Amino acid sequence: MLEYTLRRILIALPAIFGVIVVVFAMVRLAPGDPAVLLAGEFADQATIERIRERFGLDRSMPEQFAAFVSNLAQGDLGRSTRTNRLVTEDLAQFFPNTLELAFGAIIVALVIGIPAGVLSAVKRNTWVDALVTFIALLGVSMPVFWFGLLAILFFSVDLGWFPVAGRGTFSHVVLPAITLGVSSTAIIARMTRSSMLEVLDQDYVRTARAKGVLGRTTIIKHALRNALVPVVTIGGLEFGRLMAGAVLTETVFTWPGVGRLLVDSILARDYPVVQGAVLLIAVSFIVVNLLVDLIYGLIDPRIRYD
Amino acid sequence: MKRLARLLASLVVLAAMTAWAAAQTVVIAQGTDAVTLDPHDVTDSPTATVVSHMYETLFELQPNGDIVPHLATGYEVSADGTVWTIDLRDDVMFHNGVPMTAEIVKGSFDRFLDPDNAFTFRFLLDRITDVAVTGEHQIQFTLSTPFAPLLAHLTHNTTAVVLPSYVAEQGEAFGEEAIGTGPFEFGSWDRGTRIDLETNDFYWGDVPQIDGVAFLAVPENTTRMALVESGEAHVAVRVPPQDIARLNAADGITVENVSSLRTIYMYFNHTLEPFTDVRVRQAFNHAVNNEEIAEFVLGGAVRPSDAAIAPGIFGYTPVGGYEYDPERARELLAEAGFPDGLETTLYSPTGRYLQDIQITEAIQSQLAEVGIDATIETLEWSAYLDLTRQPAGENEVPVALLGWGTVTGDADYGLYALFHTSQHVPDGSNRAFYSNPEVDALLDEARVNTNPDEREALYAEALEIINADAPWLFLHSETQLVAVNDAVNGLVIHPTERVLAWNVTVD
Amino acid sequence: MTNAATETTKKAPQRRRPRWLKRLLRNPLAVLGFLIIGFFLVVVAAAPFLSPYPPADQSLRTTYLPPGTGVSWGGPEGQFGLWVSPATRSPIGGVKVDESEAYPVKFFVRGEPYEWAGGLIKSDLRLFGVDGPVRYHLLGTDEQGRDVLSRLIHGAWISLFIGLISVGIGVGIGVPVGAISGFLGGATDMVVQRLVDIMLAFPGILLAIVLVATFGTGLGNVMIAVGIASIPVYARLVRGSVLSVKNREYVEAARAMGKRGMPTLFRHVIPNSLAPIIVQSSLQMAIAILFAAGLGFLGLGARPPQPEWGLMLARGREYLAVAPHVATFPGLAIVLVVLGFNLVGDALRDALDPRG
Repeated sequence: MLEYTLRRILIALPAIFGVIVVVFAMVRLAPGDPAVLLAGEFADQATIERIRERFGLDRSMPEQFAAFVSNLAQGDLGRSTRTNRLVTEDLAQFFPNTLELAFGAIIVALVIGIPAGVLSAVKRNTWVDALVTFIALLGVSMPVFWFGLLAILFFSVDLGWFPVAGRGTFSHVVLPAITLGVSSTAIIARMTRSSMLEVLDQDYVRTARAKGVLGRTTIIKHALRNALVPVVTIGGLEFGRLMAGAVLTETVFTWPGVGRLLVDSILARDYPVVQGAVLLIAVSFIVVNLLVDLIYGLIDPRIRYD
Repeated sequence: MKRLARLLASLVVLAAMTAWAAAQTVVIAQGTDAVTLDPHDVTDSPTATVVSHMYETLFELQPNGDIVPHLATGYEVSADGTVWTIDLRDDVMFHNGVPMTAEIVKGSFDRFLDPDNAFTFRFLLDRITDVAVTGEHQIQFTLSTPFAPLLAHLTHNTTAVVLPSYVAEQGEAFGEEAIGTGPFEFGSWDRGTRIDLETNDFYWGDVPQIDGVAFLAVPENTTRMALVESGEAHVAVRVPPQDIARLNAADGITVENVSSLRTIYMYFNHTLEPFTDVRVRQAFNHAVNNEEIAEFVLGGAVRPSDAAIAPGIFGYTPVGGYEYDPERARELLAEAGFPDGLETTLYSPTGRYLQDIQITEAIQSQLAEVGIDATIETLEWSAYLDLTRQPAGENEVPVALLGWGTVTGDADYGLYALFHTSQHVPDGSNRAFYSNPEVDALLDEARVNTNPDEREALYAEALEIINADAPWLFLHSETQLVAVNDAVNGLVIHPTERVLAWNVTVD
Repeated sequence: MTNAATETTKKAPQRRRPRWLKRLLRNPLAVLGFLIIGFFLVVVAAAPFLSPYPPADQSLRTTYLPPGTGVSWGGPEGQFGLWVSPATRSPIGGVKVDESEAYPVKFFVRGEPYEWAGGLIKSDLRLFGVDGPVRYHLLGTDEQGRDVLSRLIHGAWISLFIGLISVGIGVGIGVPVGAISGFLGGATDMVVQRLVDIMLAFPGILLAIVLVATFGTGLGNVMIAVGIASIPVYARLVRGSVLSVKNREYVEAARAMGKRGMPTLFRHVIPNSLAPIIVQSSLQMAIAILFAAGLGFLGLGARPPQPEWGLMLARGREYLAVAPHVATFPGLAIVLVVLGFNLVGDALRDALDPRG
């Protein structure tokens, strides 16, 4: 298992390096110049030149890349051109917020999605199944920012049940987590349904059912346990997707997460922060995938890593 | 025994009072988080607002336009106008207890002026060639040339006094916390969310009567307004015009409307046809009804322009602007050789200025009435700035919307960088490539002349010529719409687009 | 495998429609999905005829009027039908309806002239409209006084194009790349799969955001960015089905008969991977429309004054408190269309799944 983990990490390294190279080049190819932006509407050419010098933007691309990589090797992602803060500090402050949000969303998704999927599978091809499927598909079809705005208007402004924005207490996280979790809920419900159906179709379950040996509840329990394996996989993948996909939710709810940090930094042409955030997201995505595979093995002992 | 009881009782009262006072934190919701707490490095209003509560300048621009000594007590200018001697207060203390001396003030200005630091607003003071300590509480600036607007520039929030020993100690992390001389001290900063400041009980001036100020960063307009409606914030800046009526109707909230020193305009690129022809530029000005835009797009909250700078700025004179007259616009176009109208592109930012894209769309439809077929091009801000400051010959932006805040309150800052020939982009900010030798001469003269009356006359003449040349489509001067809870008294909404809670009380 | 084969032979004589199509049409959700998409296509095709007014027509005197302002049942003298009175907004915020005037709503009305289908159709005939010098706004107006319904109808093609072009890019690049990668195997496969890894390590919407920020905002770039973001999904999908089909007898046989690699690939392997591509494409249409709306919301998508739904929603959210309809209707339109593609995609997957 250790060897497997190491091999997976080794395979992931070129991908991560590729992400770095691509992002490094892309932010610099984009129109717009961080020095011009920092200097603002007011600046003269001399000030802009000095700002360029201050952040090393006057050097050639290969030189900048070499400097970036050698700093990275020492765990230094540089300083934000906008706030002059260490990028690592910024990420350390924003990343847990995103994790908190993604975690909340995945809980929402599992708590609602799994029972909905089970219901749908058990009542297969009835109106209940169709209704659950329809609601699930409606969930994935909803633009998150629209859902979020309506939720704020209704639950926070009209009813006053939850705070409008910000983070800190439990009640702050409720609406953003639900908003972010809607589409994952739908995906998990669909996944649970199809993997339940597969288990229910297996011969031994059919036989047990036909003979009436086991009660209905027992069958569902049994089937669910087996059906959960692929659900865990999807749940893990969703978690990775949520961490990155939280951009829109974070914008609507003024949630200080990595997604919003990334978008703001792209707009501000804050190269070091963009690079750092992208690196973090790519790495965490890969780590989550790896963890999912390892957990998969723990749940289902038939899978071996060799 | 009795005395002990009394002591205990007073302690209880004291504790209760403290607890009560602890609730008195004024919460101000802004559109963005502060970028840095380094006052010399500030370039945006939300950051300036936060920093202005902790750091102070030598002189202060009051909301009515008067300039009064602040950390200074007075000043004297030599006969040739190149040596300024400034006396400093002797009772000022930094938040860490260090008293302010001339040595410290010199260190602060040296830092601001050091070209290696590349501070954006360094140009405000770049005529200063030397800062000397001439007494324990007196410094002297030596200038390369006489420079009339110097006093106004010394009120700008980026020229605030910092503590050089603290700067050295903090190094690169200087902008993350703050030690200044102001009425509030740095408390904590939750990035992207909230900054807390506490009252400085040893402040040299009037100690604030509240316990602290908190600044929230809330980019979504709807959310920011909801915060003040729900009482989670006392103050919310940048009220969208369409919400004015609704918020005023709500219990306990008033939308303050304070004029700003920012002018909104569209410039014409004088290197591109057909904008080389003054008749075309005038035609645009006659075709656009900026009063209708002010009333319906901006809820009547702005002031249609009658000069290139806003009232409240030293040197402002109303010179008329242009009447809405579509007939005249068509005539002018025909005279200029466009009887069937013309096609052009309007560049516009989105979300940078109050209702910017809405204004551009309204202009587009008004231009269509006189036969000008304009398409709209929007870019995100960084690309926008970059594209509009390309040098002549490469610059292909014909017409673009921009705003200019004359934050020093002096016409020099508002006119020189925008209309002087030497300031064509990329060297300066004259994006229109406007050039008129008469205007150049007037602006140059007003820079070095130290007689206020004569300066005023020079600027009036320059504004007159600029108006006739129509290098811009004159639009309006902005106002700051700030929603304030009625329990808050004494809040200052400064024309330089800062909200100041220095003297606030809460009922 | 054997089971399925015998079943097919048994049913072959009386078969009219393929089994999967039957199964699809029995699914009410699939039918609903097809109806939604069909409606959407009709709206796209007949936009100027269906929309009451040109989408860019604005009037600062009629900003954000609520849906149906000035519309009432019955004429001034008790006539039958819908009648419309002029409505204006005063600068202070109130809406004023002048009830002394009223004009009837008619089925067909001569309105603003329009050209359509590249100038082939020139007309001024519009479905529903007011016969008189007043405008009616079934879904209200936006902040520039533009008719929301007209903008929604004229924005429909944008969503359709975003979907089609980005799916086209995804299929056009992803499918050959995945097929070649799977078919050739070895070093090529290794390199391609690592490239796909890079893209997959960078989840969809973020990739699109970075791409749009790099190449600039605007509809064209949004389509390209969303398309590029979908390439790895197709590449993986096709590679997988190529690997599973590759070693089947007929491909082997074709090889043995001396046919060269690539033609064999295209003749046999691609048609066999078609089912999952179709399913994926239907779902991808939905994803593309959502992504584009999200980019529009962040200010990185279509540019104003284009009536792109995500952009309309983004602009409308500024008016949520005073005029919720400006953001609500574009949101509903997005949900409806995306739901249509999701319903069809989901049903197709069920129908094409041999296990189902």
